[in-house]
Amino acid sequence: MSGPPTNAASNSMDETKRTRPGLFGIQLKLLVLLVFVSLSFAAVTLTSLLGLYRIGQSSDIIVGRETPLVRSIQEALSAMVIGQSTTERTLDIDDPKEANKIDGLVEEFKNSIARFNMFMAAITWGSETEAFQRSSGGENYQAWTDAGLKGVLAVRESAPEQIELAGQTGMYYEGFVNNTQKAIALRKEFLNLSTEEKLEDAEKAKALSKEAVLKARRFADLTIGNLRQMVEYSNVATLESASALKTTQREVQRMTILISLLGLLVSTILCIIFARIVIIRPITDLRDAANTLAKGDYTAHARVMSSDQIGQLAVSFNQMADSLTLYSVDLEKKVVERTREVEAKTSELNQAKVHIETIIENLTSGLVEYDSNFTILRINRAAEEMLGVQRDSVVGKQIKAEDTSKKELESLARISYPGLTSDVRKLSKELSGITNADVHEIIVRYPFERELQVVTAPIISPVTGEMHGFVKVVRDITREKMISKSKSEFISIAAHQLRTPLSGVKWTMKLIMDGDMGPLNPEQFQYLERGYDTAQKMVVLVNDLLDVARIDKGRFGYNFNEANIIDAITTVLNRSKPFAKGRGIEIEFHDNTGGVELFHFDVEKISLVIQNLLDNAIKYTNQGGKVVLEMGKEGDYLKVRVSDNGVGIPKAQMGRLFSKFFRADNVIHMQTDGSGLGLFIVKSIVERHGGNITMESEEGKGTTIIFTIPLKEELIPKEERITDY
Amino acid sequence: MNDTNNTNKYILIAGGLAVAFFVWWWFQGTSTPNMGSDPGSAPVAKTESKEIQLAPEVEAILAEETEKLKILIANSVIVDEVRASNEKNKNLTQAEIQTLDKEWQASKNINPFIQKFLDNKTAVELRAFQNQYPGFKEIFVADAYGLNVGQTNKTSDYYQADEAWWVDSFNGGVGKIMHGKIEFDQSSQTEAISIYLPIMDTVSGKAIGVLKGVLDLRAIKSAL
Repeated sequence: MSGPPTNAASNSMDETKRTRPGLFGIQLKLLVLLVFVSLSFAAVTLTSLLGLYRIGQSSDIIVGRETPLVRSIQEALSAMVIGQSTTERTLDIDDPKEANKIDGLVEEFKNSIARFNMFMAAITWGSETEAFQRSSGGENYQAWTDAGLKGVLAVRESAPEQIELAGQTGMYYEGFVNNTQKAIALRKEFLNLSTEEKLEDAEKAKALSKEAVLKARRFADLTIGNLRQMVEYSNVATLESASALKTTQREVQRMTILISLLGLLVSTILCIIFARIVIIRPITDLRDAANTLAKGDYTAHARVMSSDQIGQLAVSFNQMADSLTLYSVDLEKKVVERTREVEAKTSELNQAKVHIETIIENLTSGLVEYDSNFTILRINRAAEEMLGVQRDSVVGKQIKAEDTSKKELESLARISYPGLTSDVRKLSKELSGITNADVHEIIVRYPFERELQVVTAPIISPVTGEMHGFVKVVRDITREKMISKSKSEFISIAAHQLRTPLSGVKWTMKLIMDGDMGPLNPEQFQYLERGYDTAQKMVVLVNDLLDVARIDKGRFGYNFNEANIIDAITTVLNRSKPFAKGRGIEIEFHDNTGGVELFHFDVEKISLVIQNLLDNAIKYTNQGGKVVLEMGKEGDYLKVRVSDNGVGIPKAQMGRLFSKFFRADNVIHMQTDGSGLGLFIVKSIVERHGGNITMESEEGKGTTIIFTIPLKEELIPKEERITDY
Repeated sequence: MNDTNNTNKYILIAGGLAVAFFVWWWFQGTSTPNMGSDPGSAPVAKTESKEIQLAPEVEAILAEETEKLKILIANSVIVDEVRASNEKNKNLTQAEIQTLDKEWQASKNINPFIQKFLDNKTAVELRAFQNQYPGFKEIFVADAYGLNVGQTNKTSDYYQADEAWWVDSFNGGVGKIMHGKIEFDQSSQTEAISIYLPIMDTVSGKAIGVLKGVLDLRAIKSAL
């Protein structure tokens, strides 16, 4: 990793100052996007408006020009027809008495003329005001205005191509008017002449009138023909305008579609490009920087491209990267330090390991380490030699119970599975003194016959508390056993050999003390009595030794029969009371059973138990003390307590109370009698009955021995097996 | 960054192609608008295709009036003036003619140059005729080059050879008597019909100029 990028950190800080958020930030950019989107709508709207304008213009032509034009022509025609009618009615007046009708006709005709001229002017000039002023000096304008027609027509512009036609029409109409007026005047003259009875002149006038009417008709026809032509032209123009309108409409539709699509396309493209530039690109850049950072390159920085929220995000990211860089540098230093420490510790551990390995390898006891599946993880040289195996062939191998059938693995398998093999003795925790491991004594025969003590201890994980293997410490106790056996045999033989002579000595002394050898003086008797007592004690000792030897061999000899425990206890108490009285100690017996029926037990042995306990309690209680014997029930068991308020037992030696030849330190100096075998024998007898014996004691205050024996025969072990030591 | 630029380029290219396609497609379906460019103009093809004939009565009156104008084209003063104008203008280049024509059109009032054409001998003869026949609101004569010789009123321009009536009436020197359509004459501000007569050279028998008489429609109307 690179060193701390202080420049980058300071640059980031500068960036923070430079890129203060803009007024709208990203919102402004989004607004721009909205504008682009709006462009397409604006284009469509504009196109539609333009199209509508063009359609409006086309329709204006129809509505604004052609329609008024046609209407004007129709009105002119109408005026023409009225004028024609007037003309024709003139011919109908023959009777001079009806001469006054002519004035009416004249007036009617004048009106039709004004009307015709008005609409012809509208057709020709487009502007009715100017048209009237030009064509008729303004006189018809007033009439036209009076007729309420001002503003009704709105011919926006003249139709130049129809000016000629309109001019012709006006000309023909003029002819019509002139001739009609002439006809009317002549008709009037005819009527007057008729009245004056100037018949010949009247007829001439009548003929001229008729001629004038014919001419008027001719010009009327021409005028009407022209007007109809104008209508036809106007209709054609209207049709063409309508057709053009439709074409325009179609064009507008296409244009609208095109503009819509184009607008949409353009706005989409603009949006995409703009978004890519102002939004996506900076975000992509930020993403790339983040990816680079994630891969461990803390120098990765995002470019700050704007002052909006995205730019601020980039600034924050860069600051984060700088902080991470500083942190990683610091972390590196710590890692280096820790690594050094770890290396130092590892070196220490390696040295310790070598140290331990050396120790293990040079132990005189064998050591075999297993995992929880009985796979051998380690075996030292001593174990190799004891078990007749090579580590190369067994390390990593899973030992199975059936391996006992394999000669080369027999011993290893036997110690691995002590519970499944023969010639195994399991030691109690009290005897072995090991509380957190199982202890077995196993006889192996490969490579040599030997007796091994195997201590099996679990390997417990200090973290999880689970067992993840176990270790067996193997000690060759063959020599110890031989020595112990030799010792036991020696003691047995010696005791056996001593008992007879001792008995003889005691019997001889008794004879002499009884005076069978003659009278003795008091001093002689005293010495003999001492010797007799000493011999008696030796006999007791020898008997104890012989008992122990028998117990060791499992041949102590028990007879379980139904008996009365009260009788047995009472017998022992009676025997002990003199001894207690002699030492000034009171004995009490409490039967708290509420009545015990006969049950199976060895009367002699139990009596011996109680005797030994009472003797110890009496021996180790000072004068004036008290020994209490209590009996009770505890389930299917009889519970007996023997308590004294004597010297007690030192706490440190309590564990050895039931061992052979044990005598506590605080009683040795009391110079009391005792072989140290009594409690061993008591324990053996109690356990043979299937019971249990415990002890409570406090030095200087007293001791309580509690034992239990079953009240039911089925709870008594079947065989006198070799008891735990 | 390059990828972004390239992508943007591709987007632009694709968009441009799409736009071009759409425009092509639109033009495929577009018909030539009759109204598109000038919706204000009315379709005149059908009206223009059919020539409007004057009634025989009107033609007869026009013929009478034409006969009157023949007096002018036979007027020796006018003929000499036309010849002199032809002689004077024979060396003018087209550019000079255009210049003179532009000056004439540009002048709002009657300047000395224009005044000459209103006071010369031709103008006097024309005005005398006009007094006799007031139905002619305007009469003027142009020479063989289409340039004004004399006139009763200031014409709108000096050069007439670019007008269809002069071309038709001069008829390449053959000459042709004709009349025009009913029009609104700007000079006289009346509805009028113009009558055109070639001025013929009595020697060569070829047209040496054209006379235009603007007949007020009212003169015709009154005769109907």
